[in-house]
Amino acid sequence: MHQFTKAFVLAALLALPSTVSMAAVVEVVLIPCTPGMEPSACGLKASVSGGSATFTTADGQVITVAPGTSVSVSGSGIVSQSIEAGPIVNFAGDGNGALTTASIGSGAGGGGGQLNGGNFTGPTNPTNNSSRSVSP
Amino acid sequence: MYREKRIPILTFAILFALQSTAGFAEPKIGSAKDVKNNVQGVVSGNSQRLSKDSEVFTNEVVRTGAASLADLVFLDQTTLTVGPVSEVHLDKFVYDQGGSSGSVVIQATRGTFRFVTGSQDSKVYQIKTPYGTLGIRG
Repeated sequence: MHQFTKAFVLAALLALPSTVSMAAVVEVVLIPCTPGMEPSACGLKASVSGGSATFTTADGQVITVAPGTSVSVSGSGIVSQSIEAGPIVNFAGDGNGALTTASIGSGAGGGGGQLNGGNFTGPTNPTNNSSRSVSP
Repeated sequence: MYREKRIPILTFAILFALQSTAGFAEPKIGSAKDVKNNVQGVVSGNSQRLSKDSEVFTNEVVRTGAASLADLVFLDQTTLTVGPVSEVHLDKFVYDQGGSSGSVVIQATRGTFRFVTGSQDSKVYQIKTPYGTLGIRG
């Protein structure tokens, strides 16, 4: 093979990894608040990996969600952020159609909410290493 | 006389045909890669039970039942896994291959989801929820 062609192929191969962008993975657990439900038992938890995201609350506050972290909003609107060691949802079945997922989780905004529709069990990642509150 | 009878029949036939194709008035944006148990898709008021390889459309509402799951793949290779007892509205899908004017917006109402961005610029993806909007940044 010609020297120039070799150099060109090598350069192209070296350039490839920098042009292939990694997909962002966003996981969401969303429990709508219904009348009579404790505000801590409903809300939203969203985690991001492989990329980052911004979360804009209903009142316009913009929060950066870094890779490996999550943002939670309780039913009363308290926003918190946590570090996530792994996925917050797990769709793996047990062969009988049972599926597992995480609870809304920890932090000032979390607090014990858990989806109970169908065969939910969880959480998959109960330990959040740290969390900090963000004023709503 | 025969001609007068034919007009109402023709009108009825046209109306019937229009109604049956109404569900496909929205553009196709992807398909179901995998479906477990009870998953419904509602588009333009028409409800269909989704199964593997079912097409999905803009403005379609996807609902899953207990112990059910839908794994959707959009035209730009974005994947959306919809967990049990969940509901999501596929708001908008504009595929701008190689460009930056695409737009993918879904509206999650309840349940659990895993969203993996596809081949478009990360900034085109948005997930709306009742508590706020997630915008992917890279």
